[in-house]
Amino acid sequence: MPLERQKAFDWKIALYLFFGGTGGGLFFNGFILDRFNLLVSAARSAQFLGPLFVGLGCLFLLLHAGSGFKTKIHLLFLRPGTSWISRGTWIITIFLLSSLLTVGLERGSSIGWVAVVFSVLMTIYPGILLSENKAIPFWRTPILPILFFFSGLSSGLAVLLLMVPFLSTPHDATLALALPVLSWYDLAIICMQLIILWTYLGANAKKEITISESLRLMKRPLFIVGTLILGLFLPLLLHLFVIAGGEPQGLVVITGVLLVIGGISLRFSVIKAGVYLPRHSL
Amino acid sequence: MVAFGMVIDLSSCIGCLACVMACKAENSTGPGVFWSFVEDEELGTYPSVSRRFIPRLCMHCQYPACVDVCPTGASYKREDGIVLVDSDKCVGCRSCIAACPYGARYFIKENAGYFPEGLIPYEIQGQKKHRPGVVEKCTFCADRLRVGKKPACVQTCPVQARTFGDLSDPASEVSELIRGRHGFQFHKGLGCEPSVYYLAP
Repeated sequence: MPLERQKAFDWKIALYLFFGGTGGGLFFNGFILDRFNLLVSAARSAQFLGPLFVGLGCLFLLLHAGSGFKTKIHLLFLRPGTSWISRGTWIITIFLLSSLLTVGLERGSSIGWVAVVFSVLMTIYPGILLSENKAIPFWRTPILPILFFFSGLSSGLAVLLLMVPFLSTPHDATLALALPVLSWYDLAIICMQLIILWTYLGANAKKEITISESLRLMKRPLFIVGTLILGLFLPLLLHLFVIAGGEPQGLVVITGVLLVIGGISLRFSVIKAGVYLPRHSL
Repeated sequence: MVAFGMVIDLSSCIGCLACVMACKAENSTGPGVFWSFVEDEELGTYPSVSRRFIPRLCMHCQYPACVDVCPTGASYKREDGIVLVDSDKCVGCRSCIAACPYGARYFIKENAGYFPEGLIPYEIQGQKKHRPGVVEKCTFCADRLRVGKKPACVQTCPVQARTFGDLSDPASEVSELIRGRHGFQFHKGLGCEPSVYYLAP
């Protein structure tokens, strides 16, 4: 019997997942850098852009949903007891409110800590949304939220790095300190993603036919080139170059672009690799 | 309390698809939407080849995954066991479609017709039952049950492969069939506990 790929979630959901996770990562990274007074302009911009990214993700969700979605948004709050979409609605709402308050209020206000907790939840939630589907074995793993957490941090950092050349001046004393530190930080995140992907894809290698088919669908150019080569290995090499004493400022933009490509292609790859259990097996 | 369920005898089903057409006629579903459908499998290798027909529909599970994931409560389970979708509450997020192990749900993008010339009067009338932008599925013909009729697929089957009744009544025909012929459920391990049982071919 031919296996059936899922079609319920398409490119709009992949972008919703990307912008949601990246928005959370962007705010988180910006908040932490701001607390340490590093790259302050970029850090504060990141805290403002984070909720905007999440809002953009929600627009893709709106595009995906039915025509009556706009008039029924209030209903999405009603079932956090069982529905991860309902829980996600609460997470998104609290994150948006607390992050925008963080940006609007005096620096150092305690609401920022609420926002940073929910920014972490924003990076994890997209993975949980997929992993709750018992009908799709490839998604049904606790590894997915963990993978999306690290990916969200990385792509959030990527957007922040893209802002640095435009928001930092050559006289910013923290620039020389911050960029190598961020290289170490992202290096660790990239290594974690590689370990998790190795575990996720390797552990599934010998399992039943549905997962084998999902693995076959994953191992396509979008994942191999987009996620692994462009999104993980090349940035890893660039970070190693910086750590070895290379000049970081010239590589900031290219690293950021590569990480964003990796984040987007990871989510598209996972969405496209969703395959249902055979409908009538025992 | 009654718990509606169905038993499908795979040894009787001849793959005539009358149930599919009866469901379409009763519920006016559009192109590509099959609340009741029949899978056709070829088994074995030449010269020992056979065909197997597996009628499928919404399983109206005891613990429906679709109800759990629904963020608005649009998907809900009635006391009599029937799982329904309230189109007034459905936002079309399609998380229920991803969650359903049985492929029983459909997202209605638009009310399309079967004919290139446009909607025929039957379709115009039938589409009043359907709303674009929401998810739909088999209802066990709840409207027919209300007036004492059986679901259309059960009524139509020429070989009586489908039996409908009360699973909570041990003396009902469905309960006796399940007991006597070792009725089984698909994907029992997932914990959804379908209300549709099958009898082995």
